[in-house]
Amino acid sequence: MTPEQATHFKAQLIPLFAQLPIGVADTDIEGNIVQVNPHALQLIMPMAIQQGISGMNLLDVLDAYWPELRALISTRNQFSGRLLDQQPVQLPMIGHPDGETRQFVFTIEKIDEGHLLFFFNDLTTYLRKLNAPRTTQP
Amino acid sequence: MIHFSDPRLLDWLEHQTNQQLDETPFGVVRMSLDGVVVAYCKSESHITGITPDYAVGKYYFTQIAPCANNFLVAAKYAQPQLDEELDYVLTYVSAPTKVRLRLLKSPESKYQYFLVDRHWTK
Repeated sequence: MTPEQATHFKAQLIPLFAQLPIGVADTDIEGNIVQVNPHALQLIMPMAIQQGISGMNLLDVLDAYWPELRALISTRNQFSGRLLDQQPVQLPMIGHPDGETRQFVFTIEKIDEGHLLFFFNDLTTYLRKLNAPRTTQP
Repeated sequence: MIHFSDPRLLDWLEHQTNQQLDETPFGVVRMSLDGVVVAYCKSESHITGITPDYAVGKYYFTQIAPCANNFLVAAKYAQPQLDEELDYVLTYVSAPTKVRLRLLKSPESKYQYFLVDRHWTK
């Protein structure tokens, strides 16, 4: 692939990245966000604001609610690969009109020694719909 | 020139044409009261890469800035009166960017406004 082709493909991928209905964040190993898509910020920022922190570091945002996560990442000695696969975790969002306890799911990939890739979403509404009593007869 | 935190800012904005909003020293998104973009000023466009032609006519929080589509920002516009500043992070292309937001509307205003000060530092 030529550099021009790589630039072209990257430009094509950016709109897809922006429209993804799941949160994606590329961070350094300390959790500082390098790249992030809009859905991720939609989910992160209420938690950052309620803690009075900036939201520029994903592990800082999660520390208060998921303290074992940072240790889990630092103790995995693998050079790369999946650290967590669809891990459910409950996170609080004070003031959320649809329920303050949110059911999230996280997949975390270690890209290399210096980078992590987070995929996450708030599944609370999905689970509520899934568990709602069926009102129609088959 | 009016500044970002001026208490009379909403009244000032209401008296500006869409073209005049391009001259403000901070980003201005003028929306109808149901959240459709009416004007998307140049200072915002230069940074986001989203052109005013693309933005105008679209629902701001679902189609242009989904990163602010949550109960702490977008949902606040359901209130009849709103004047709130908060620190936030927006994404421009894919880079996180610290900004100061101001959310403005009143029962008397024709429009609601989403203002972005990207020069702000804590």
